[in-house]
Amino acid sequence: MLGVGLTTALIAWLRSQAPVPNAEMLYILAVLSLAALFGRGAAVMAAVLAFLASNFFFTVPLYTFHVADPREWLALGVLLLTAIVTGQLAASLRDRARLAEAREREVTALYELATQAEVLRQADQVKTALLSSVSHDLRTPLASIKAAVTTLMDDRAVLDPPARRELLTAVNEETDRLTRFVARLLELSRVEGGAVEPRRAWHALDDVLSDVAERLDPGRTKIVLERAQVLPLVFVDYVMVDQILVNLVENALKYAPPDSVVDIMASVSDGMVTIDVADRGPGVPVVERERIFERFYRSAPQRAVLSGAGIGLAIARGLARALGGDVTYAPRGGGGSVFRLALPTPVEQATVACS
Amino acid sequence: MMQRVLVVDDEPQIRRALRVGLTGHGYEVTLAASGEEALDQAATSAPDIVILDLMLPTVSGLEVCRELRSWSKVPIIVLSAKDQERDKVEALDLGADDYLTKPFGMDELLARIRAALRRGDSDVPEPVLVSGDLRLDQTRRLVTLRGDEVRLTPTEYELLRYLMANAGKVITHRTLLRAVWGPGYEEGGQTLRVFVAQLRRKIETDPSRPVFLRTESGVGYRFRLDPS
Repeated sequence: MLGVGLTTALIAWLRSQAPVPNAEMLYILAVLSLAALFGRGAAVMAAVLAFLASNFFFTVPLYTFHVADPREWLALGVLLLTAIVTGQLAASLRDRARLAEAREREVTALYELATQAEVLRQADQVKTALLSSVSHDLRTPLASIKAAVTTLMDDRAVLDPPARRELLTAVNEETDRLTRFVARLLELSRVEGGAVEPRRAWHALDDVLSDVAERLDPGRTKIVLERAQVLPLVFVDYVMVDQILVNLVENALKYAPPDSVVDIMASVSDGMVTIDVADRGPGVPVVERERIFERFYRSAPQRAVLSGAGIGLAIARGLARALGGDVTYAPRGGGGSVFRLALPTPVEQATVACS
Repeated sequence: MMQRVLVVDDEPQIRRALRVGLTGHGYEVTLAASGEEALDQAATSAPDIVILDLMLPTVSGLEVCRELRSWSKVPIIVLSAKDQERDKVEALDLGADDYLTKPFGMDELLARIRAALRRGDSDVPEPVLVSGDLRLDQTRRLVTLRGDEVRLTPTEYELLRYLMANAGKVITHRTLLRAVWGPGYEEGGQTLRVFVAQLRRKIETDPSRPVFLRTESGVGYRFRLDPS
């Protein structure tokens, strides 16, 4: 209505300025834009209004709906028809645009759904990978045990005493392996469940270190203390730090070449004790440097070669975090890996100098 | 002559147990700890049968299977863990003869080895295939059960012939479909089930508890080897 009114005013103004033939055509413009904006109904209404307005204002006799010249009927008819048709066209164009928009929204929504599904699927994949890794670590020793025991039980098998002994050794070693694995699984669930309560006390740092090195492989571990004469006391949970270090050193011994030495380097500064376990193994590719701390994760080529559950580093990190510290990885200059345990601790140095 | 078994597994303890166990049953055992070693050994020591673990570092069991099959018809029994169903089926599709899921008993492995070796002996096509009371005469296209003729459609006959010719061996759905229906029909699992059900109605005393044509769940079928 307003559109037609404005157009009428515009045409009247144009006419007052100069004789403009067919100024009524401007109505078509108005109808077109109304159709585009408000759709089919508005377009038809505007066309009818334009027809009436044009008749009323611009055809002789003016200001009546009466038309003197029959040719004017033709002009008005054409105006009405053109207005309706263009209106329809514009409106259907608008409908199509709307439809396209709706489709796009649908596609976007679908895409978002698909993305969510993908995230879920990936989480599922991780879980599946974990399960299959655990089941492999359990099943492998079981398979050896079963094969050995069923042979021992078989009366038709010809076994001399050394053969018998060998099968029993396999059974024995594999049950040990299973026991270790189950113990570590329990340990991991305890660490991850937050059931670890640190019991801190004052301990000599190098006691902790030499204890670990002694137990694991004294021949292949070397303790490097930054200030050899001063033995700092640290306020930590002895058992937890011991376990962290055992896991780190075991890991290093496993990945490093058999004849190489694992260095344990300790330093203390600003309420932090830092212990580096450094090996000359193959190192860890950049993409795997965080993943190695995930449970059951083992870097691909090692997975099948090395026995072990891929639990050690996860336990080490879990324990370190329970103590307010962390275990991190860094490549070692000249090849190899450095696993760094950093723990916040008050440090006492004066009392135990040269004990 | 002592029969030679090649055991391929990356787990030292499994190799150890199988070496002692198989030697104790009169087999000559060679060991391989990796896929590369397995292929070397297969070429140099000419084993009569290969026991192949699917989970191997670098060159996988599947690759070993494919490679071996490209030049050898030596029977292959694959060892797999429960969560490697897909690999297992693929290995069988590639031409492995049988599979065992870890952990397994030695008696079971020995039975599979014996069956696979027996099949390997009779490589010459036989005109008459026999399993218990069931006879299939390939020259006359005649099937009899306890002496009575069993009427089969051409597809049923072809299915039974293929199964009996490979008796004792696990045949995957894909392999069966390809052998009986031809290339391009490998996805017709439903069709296969229908034909197997029809065949069972004709040859089994109790089709719901088949004696001849056994289902290997999730993998395929196995036709009974031993008339017992």
